[in-house]
Amino acid sequence: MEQAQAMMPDREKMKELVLATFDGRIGEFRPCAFFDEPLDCIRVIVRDCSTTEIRVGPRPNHLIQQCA
Amino acid sequence: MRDFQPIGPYADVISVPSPNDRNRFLSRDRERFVNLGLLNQTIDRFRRFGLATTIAQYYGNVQEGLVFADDVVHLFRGLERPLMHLDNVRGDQDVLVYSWVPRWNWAWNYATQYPDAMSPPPNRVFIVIARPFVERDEYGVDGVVLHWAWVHEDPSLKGAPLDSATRFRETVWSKRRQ
Repeated sequence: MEQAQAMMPDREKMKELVLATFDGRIGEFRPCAFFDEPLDCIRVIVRDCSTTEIRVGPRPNHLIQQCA
Repeated sequence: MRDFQPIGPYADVISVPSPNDRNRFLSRDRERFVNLGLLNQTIDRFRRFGLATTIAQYYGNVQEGLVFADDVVHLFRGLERPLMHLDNVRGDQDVLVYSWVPRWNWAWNYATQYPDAMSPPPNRVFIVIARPFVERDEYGVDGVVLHWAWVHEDPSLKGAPLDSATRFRETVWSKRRQ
């Protein structure tokens, strides 16, 4: 039982940490685009969700992100 | 998951298995780890754009994920794509990529204002991309975290990204739980 409980994700702690990062309030997500300078690429994000990065086309630096 | 531990230009510092540790088994011995910093400017950007899921995945998987990984972990070096870093047109060559399957996937649920914890998406691995420093800096940090994401898993190599043989310049090591 204890081991099973230890395997459970701590959603309360996660909520506390994420809210703290946003100074207590997470505003509405708005689609955005920015230059990721360290990785020398442009990111266009249209939805805030868990995504999978996929390389597309012959150019190795073209990626898309699909939800889930 | 824990509170940020800011120091200098870093919002947080995490521990990851050292690229130089060639032991083939995973360990929680901190002597075999190096420190990566998450720059303030990185987390500020996520705040500015309201990317709560990205931040949740940092706390849930990046922050201590490689310390508590309980299956195979791979480390690759070199992104094999054009990447300009400072004056180096081959700035991709030194980049490190850790990959493994974490226990959970996290996403922020805006409707409930609560994080959702889900099983990892099927046939995916989680990657953390980092750039190592030439030497440890004054804050005891050995490199910076650049990015994290889910990517498709190589069906023939558990825990590794799809096409890792061509996508990365080299495999540094693969470790598994003893």
